[in-house]
Amino acid sequence: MSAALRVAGLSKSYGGKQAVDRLGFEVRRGEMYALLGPNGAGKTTTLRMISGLLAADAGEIRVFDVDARADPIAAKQLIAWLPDEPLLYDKLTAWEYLEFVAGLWGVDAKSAAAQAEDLLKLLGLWDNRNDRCESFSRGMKQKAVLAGALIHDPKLLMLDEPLTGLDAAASRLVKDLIRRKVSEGCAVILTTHILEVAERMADRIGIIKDGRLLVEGSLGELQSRAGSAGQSLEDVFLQLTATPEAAEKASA
Amino acid sequence: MSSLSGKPGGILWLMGHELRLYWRRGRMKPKSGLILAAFMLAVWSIVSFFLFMRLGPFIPAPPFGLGPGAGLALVGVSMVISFIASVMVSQSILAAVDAIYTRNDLDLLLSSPLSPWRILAVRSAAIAVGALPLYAGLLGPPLIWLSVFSSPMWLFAIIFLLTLAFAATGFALLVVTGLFRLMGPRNTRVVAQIVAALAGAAVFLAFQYFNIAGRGRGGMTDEQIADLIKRFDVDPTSWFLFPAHAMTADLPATALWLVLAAILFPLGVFIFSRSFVADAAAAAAMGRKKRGPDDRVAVVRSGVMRSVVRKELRLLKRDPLLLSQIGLQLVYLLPLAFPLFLSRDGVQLIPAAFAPALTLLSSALSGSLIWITVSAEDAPDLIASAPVAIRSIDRAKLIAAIAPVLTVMTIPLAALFVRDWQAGVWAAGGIVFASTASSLIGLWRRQPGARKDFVRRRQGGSVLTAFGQTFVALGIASTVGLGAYNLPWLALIPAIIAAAILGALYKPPPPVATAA
Repeated sequence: MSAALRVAGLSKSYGGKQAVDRLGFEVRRGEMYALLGPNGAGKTTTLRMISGLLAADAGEIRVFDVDARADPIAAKQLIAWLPDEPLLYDKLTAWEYLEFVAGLWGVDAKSAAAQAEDLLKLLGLWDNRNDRCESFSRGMKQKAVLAGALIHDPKLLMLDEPLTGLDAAASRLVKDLIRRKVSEGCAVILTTHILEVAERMADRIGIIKDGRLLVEGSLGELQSRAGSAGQSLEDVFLQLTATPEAAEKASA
Repeated sequence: MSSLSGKPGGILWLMGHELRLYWRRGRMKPKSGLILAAFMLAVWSIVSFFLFMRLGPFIPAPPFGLGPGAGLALVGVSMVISFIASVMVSQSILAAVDAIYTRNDLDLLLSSPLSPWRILAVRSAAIAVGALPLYAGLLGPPLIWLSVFSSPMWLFAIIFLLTLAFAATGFALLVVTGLFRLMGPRNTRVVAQIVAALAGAAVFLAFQYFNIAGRGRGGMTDEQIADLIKRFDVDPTSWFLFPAHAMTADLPATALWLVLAAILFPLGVFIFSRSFVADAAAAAAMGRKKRGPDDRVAVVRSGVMRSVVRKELRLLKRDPLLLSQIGLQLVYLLPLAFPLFLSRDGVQLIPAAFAPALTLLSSALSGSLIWITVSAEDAPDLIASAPVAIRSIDRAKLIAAIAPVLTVMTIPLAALFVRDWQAGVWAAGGIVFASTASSLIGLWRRQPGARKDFVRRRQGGSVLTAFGQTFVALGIASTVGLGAYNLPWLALIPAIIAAAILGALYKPPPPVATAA
């Protein structure tokens, strides 16, 4: 079975700084992959390149066997990207926002309306559907953006810090929704600084630093790689990224 | 589910989305805005109807050809075009820079499976269309009545204005792309904002100057008028009159203009779109520039006063948009000072006139800065939670608002001292008093706001503050002016009025240290 996402030799530099350096990893269908790394490791840059928002300097990105660099339009049709900041149109209502996003991805009006209704109800925004987004709290905005990301039923969902600013209830709701998408066969890449979330939810974890993949695998595999069986992901993460020597050892 | 017309993802549909956002950008509710706009348009239509019913028959019918007086008429039309074009270009430059730096919704749009070319072409067209309603409202009714009462050929001007908006946008897109290539993202932002400000302000200032200087001469004699007409009645075949010919139904010129506009706009969109992703990525990387190993350790300076002043000055320095907006507001204030330089012989650089002019500018500048430092405080809760008396914070913010004004005014003040030391003394006093008074009013009458709302701060703020700052500044400027013209006893009257207004506006600080 082909991978949902295959990244190989992906590189990007800004000026003199190498933000992503020959990065390679795979995400399978129906899998949740957590991409972790310290601040400035290149996580968001990687996701932006996969989403087609940033041109890669080199490397390969294949989304469900579609070459995303050669045919970005076809790849984008399959992807949804949830940025770390919930960016909405303040002057649009939640309903208008979803309607607009559905239009961008070419979802027909009838299915879009049904999907929007389902998502807004599921995320507890149905009563606010006709309110302008400028009146929303951070959590409501995050939920509205998530609804926008899901409205075209993506096959690959990329979530950049999806739980930031959410209260416990909203956080649970979003996690359940992500799990549901995974169980339906959607591939999910998640970046987060809340390592407990990655530990509990992710099937596999990749840790990057300075734009390079240090290590990847299930939690158990990472623990054995770090020689710290039974420790939490946080301990493993800190151990692997603490010093250049540790990082070198992990990636060897 | 669609409330937008056209096929989802299509050009019409995207344009509908852009225009919907444009329409809702204002603070007013769309319905109220529409009613107000319709009302103003109706009033202007009626006023212009009566105006052109009387004037129309005397206004020559275009095209003006090459006969006597044609050059003069075309110069007049050229002046109108240059004013409109400069404002359109400045708006478009700012919108194009915004498209690169404020890419929030472009991330969403560009991550969709639509063609980036289509998305950017529609956005560029929306920049052009966005510039139209104002000019359509202002110039539409006069042109329609002109076509009724003078000649239907004036309707060509409407076509010209429509295409001018697109040509100006195409030109602006080329300017922004060129600036990016020449000087990189960081400098482009600053330079584009300055270019836009200058483009918008230059013609306005020129008009104001001629207008006020003309009034300053008093009534002109018939000979002077005839001489003026003769001076401006240039050769109608001059190349720089080409846009005026195109606007006034000179068919070959109109056709050529349409061709030029039809080339310029798509060319601008094409070149801008082609480089957009790279430019936007470069802009995004601006904050991540790595300067190599940096072993410097900044000295931490303690003290509330020093910390607050440094923070405010740093924030100001790092916000070129805000700086350009402040600069632009000062530029638009300059015409207020023009009358001070008028004499019977026209415009002269009278040293004493600089004293009240500098006083007015200082008041306006410190009024803007105090709003930014006090009302637009980004982290009022942090300030409020600090273990510091509110008076200390207020004092520091006052200094942060006044210090830049005094620094900026040093050079003109020094020049004034050299030319006329007495005027210099009055000006120095005026600058200190006006900037302090304006800052105090802003401090006493603080209203919460956001930096991005700087231009529209009066809408959300107190009318009393704005009027108070203006009247106190006028009072101090009058005092300084009368003093500089050796009328010190008369100068006392506006000084007392200004002090009384200032006293009346005093309001004690809130008991809890909420900065905004």
